[in-house]
Amino acid sequence: MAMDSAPVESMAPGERHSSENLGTPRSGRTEDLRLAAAIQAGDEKAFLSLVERHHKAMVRLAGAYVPPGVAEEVTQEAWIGVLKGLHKFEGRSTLKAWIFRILINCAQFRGAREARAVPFSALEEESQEPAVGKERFLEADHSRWPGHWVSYPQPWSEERLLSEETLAMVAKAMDGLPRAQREVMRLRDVEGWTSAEVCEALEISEVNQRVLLHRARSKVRQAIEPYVSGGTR
Amino acid sequence: MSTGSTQDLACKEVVELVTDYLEQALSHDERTRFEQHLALCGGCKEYLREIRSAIDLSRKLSRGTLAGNVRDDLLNLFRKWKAG
Amino acid sequence: MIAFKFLALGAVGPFTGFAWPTPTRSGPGAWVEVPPESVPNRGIHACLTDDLSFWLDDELWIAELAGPVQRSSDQLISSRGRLLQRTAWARDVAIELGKACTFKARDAAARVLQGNGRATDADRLLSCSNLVELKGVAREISGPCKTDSLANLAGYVADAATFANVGEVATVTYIVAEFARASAGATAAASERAWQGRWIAERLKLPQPDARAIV
Repeated sequence: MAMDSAPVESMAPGERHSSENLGTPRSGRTEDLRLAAAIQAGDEKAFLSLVERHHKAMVRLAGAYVPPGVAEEVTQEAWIGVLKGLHKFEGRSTLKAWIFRILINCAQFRGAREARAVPFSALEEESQEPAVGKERFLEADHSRWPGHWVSYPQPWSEERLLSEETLAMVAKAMDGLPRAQREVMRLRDVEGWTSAEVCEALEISEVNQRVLLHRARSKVRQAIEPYVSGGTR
Repeated sequence: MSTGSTQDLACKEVVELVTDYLEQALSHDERTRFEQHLALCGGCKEYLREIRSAIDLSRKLSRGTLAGNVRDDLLNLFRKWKAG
Repeated sequence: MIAFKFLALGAVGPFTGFAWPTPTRSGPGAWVEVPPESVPNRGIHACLTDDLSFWLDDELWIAELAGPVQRSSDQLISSRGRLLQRTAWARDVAIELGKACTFKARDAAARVLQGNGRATDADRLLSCSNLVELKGVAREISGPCKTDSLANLAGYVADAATFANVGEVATVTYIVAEFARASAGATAAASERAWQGRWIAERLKLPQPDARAIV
């Protein structure tokens, strides 16, 4: 018996790794406005749910602008700013984007005082490092395979991928990234923000964001490769 | 008809396109060439797998709930604001 | 129309990760479709015989495509398709293909060497009976010299034997096609690909797709 032919979309490449929120903008706005109203009315649970959702990411992002010891303080200042300004929130942006705008303003202001703030858009990435060291590829004048792998990267060990050490190594590698790369990768891959959200919060272009993400991911991969490589699949 | 070698991507280029590919920022033609290369190159297939692994590992770094004392601080902050 | 589809282990799309509905006792796998207007940007992909070696993967399925079928970059694209039957394609068949390609390239290289007064080298290649041996001999003949185009042909053979020996068969099909291109041009490369497809079709006794349905 032929199965029913309800339309099933084939996924676009990379989709299984994107955490894009597929909710319609309208329902998202409604929810945002409802939450804002509840908080203004003094609903503690509503406020805590918002805090649970965003506080940690806010502290991390603040850490891009101010010393780590100050980031928690700055974030709390931002929450005060959120509460004071909530009556002005109209749902034109998402509540999340609105909150993070406030956070970044606070952090930049504090950071300027601490002489540390550099807007992301002004960050010139000095290094034009390739994603993979050029010694891993055959030279451009190779008679058969210019630019191909000298030898294929070896499969990563499943066991090592699951270990705590590897996770710690990823964290360390991310901490060691240049600031802009670190923040983009944190927001996209750790926090699961969409690229639109990141561009809006950091005020960078789509292309710029992608370049930073590319460099960050390449570096993290490079950093853990020696530890996880060489196992059998 | 089979694609000419002038259109073939070299591995060195492919590794630079991986993020664009995952972000769905490649044009249809670029994506086709990228996927064709992957179908023929175990090395680049493995590389893409590794980038995906790095992303999956990063996802695990997302810490869970707030620390109790932070939660308390913020609740106090809220109550103070409520009190006006 | 009937066509072929390579999928990763578990009937999973190699690029999308999409899990294809597989046939059951009751019949073919469920239809999978995309909006017709999204073709060719998105779509159901499949192969003709000529295309097979471009898309090698764990599983080879016979598939049915419905709706207008377009041809594009060594594949077919349509808005609707379903899996009919899995073929006997497996790792050991792939390894056989790798060997067949490599030794055929070896023979072609030997002919060229013969015709260019390098009979000893030709004989050395022809006397190799396994991949490891061939890899060593061909690598030696190719040597470090970059300007000797004949030595370069031996280099292709060495490369093919190297990858065939570790079971990277998709790479082997690419290497020998490029070898054909280097020796005799684009048409030869296309012929090599067609040969590879026919090898698979004959080895697995595959049906012959009817290309008339393609727009």
